Amino acid sequence: MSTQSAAMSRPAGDAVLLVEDSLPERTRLRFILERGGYRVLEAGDGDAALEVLAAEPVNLIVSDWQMPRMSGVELCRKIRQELQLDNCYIIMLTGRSSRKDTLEAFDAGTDDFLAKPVDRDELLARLKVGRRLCKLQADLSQQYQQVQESLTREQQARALVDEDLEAASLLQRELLPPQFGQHPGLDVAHLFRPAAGLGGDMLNHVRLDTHRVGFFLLDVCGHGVAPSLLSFAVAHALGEMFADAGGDVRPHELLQSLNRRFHDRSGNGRFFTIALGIMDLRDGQTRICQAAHPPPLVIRHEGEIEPVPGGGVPVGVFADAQYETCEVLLQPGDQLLLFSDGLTECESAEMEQFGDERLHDLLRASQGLSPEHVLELVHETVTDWCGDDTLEDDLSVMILARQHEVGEGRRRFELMSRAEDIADTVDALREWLGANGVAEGLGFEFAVCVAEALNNVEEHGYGEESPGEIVIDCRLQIDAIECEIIDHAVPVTEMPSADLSPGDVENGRGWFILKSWMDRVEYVPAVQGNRLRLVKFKDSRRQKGAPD
Amino acid sequence: MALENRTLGNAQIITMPARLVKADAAPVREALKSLIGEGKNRLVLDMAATEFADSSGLSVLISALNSAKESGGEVVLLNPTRPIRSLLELTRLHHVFQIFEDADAAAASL
Repeated sequence: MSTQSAAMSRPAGDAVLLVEDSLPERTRLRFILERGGYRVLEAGDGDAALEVLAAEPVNLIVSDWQMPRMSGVELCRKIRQELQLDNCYIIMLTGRSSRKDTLEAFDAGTDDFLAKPVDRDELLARLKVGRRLCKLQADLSQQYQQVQESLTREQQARALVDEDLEAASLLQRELLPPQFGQHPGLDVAHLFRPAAGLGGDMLNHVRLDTHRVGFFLLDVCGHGVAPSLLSFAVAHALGEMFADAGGDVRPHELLQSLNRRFHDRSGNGRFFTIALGIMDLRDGQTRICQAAHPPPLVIRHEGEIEPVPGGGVPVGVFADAQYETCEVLLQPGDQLLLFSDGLTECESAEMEQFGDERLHDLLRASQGLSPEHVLELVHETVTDWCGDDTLEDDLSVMILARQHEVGEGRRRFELMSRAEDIADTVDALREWLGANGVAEGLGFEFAVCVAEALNNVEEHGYGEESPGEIVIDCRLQIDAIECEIIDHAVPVTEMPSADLSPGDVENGRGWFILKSWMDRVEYVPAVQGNRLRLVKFKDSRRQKGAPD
Repeated sequence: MALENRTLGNAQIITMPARLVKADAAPVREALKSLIGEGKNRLVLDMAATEFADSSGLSVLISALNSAKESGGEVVLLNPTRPIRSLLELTRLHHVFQIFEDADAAAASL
């Protein structure tokens, strides 16, 4: 501080621009200023002053008011407006002092006045004030710039982190099974809503062999980067375990080995809860093992809700923890619901948890609906309960539903994106829909939309010159017809226009038809290419345009 | 591609194919255009057999209408099946085309 104020007290060669038309007066003032330690630049009139300033932006300016051609006030205005020199201190030397003149000079950008004849000490004192103000302003603007720079760096770093998180979150979604899947006789649907972009929850269902499906839903304590990394690792390990699982493996054996592998030696509190099971697709015999997880619920097709008994400590806490396998029998039409505690523990604005009772009531009320529909209701109800879209905790739910009958409920079509192939495939699709009892009008609308989607892939995805493969995975649900159209063409970044101009030949009215007749049109993220999911509900009350 | 057609009054009744999608569009479009080129520009498109169409199929109908009108003619539709009618209505083409259920009435309108 002391060195700074010492520096302040002496001008140390600071430059002053002296503008004065009278040579004797200018000489006198220059003498005063130089004796005061300033470096003096001189100008005999306003124009000369502007030239000097253009070459060297001086911070301190002492100017006479009354000068031929350009007055001091005019000069002042030009300095502020044309040269835009904000950080300079202008002292006007004046013989007059009318209120109006003074106000005009202030308005033009004058900082201070000094009466003529100029008093030596007063001039130096006022210049000292000027220097202090200029320094203050320069410091401030430098600090502001530094803050700006560090803010920009911060933002860039933040953007990089966000980008990484975004990529990780996409990767996490890629690890999930398709939102709606099937095994012979079993429909599976899931809902996955991480609280932050990255969740600590993970779920999957995989075929172990011709007749068994392994499934799990886990919840790593916390959410964000570290828990999600652990959930990645556990999901990966479970994938391997399922792949190696022999015919007779029981879930608690898998869980015990998982527990040994992920034992939290560091004591960092990295543990997780899980529900894990293996289902025999032939008879619905299901073995389930839990580790401190919300008990899975069996939803009987008659509407009863039965929690699967279990318990256990979280995985990772004790290396020698023992778990139990529980057997339940799922009859055709029964559903098994697995969920993380984000579902029942999500809180309303009044801090009341959603709770088991409400969940059971909801499930009873949605009896007989397809898993997709049940999940939709669960999602809506819970979001309503929380009151907004942001969740406190990760929310994941998976439903495994034994189909009423194993039938021709699913069909896969493979084709090339050529008009002929598309026409043949759509014919086959119409035939299949008809053979499976889909009403004529419904089947027609569905088939037209599929045709439009395929035409779109042909024209805008692969391009007519370079046809590529398309797969259509078509499923008949109890309450809906749905399909996924999968291609490896250029990823769609923009939805086609759904505008309609009836008399236009060229106008692709295809997307308009698609959007009008399908109840769901959504692009599901894909590693490469596109997955377009189309759903048409059978129940007209759920279709588009149906009254709420 | 030759489309089955017969004369009724001063109109041509054209039997449209069972399927009218993108793969079928070009030949039908050309066939209709060449009829119009021959001066047969009053067309009744008999849609009774057409079970399925997509937006490219619809554009065939519109381009026929446009060519016919250029030479002072007209195109009307006859007996579309229920699904096709719903497609025409969805895309508001029932405001662009006159639709008849009776061939004589359709021909008489031209």
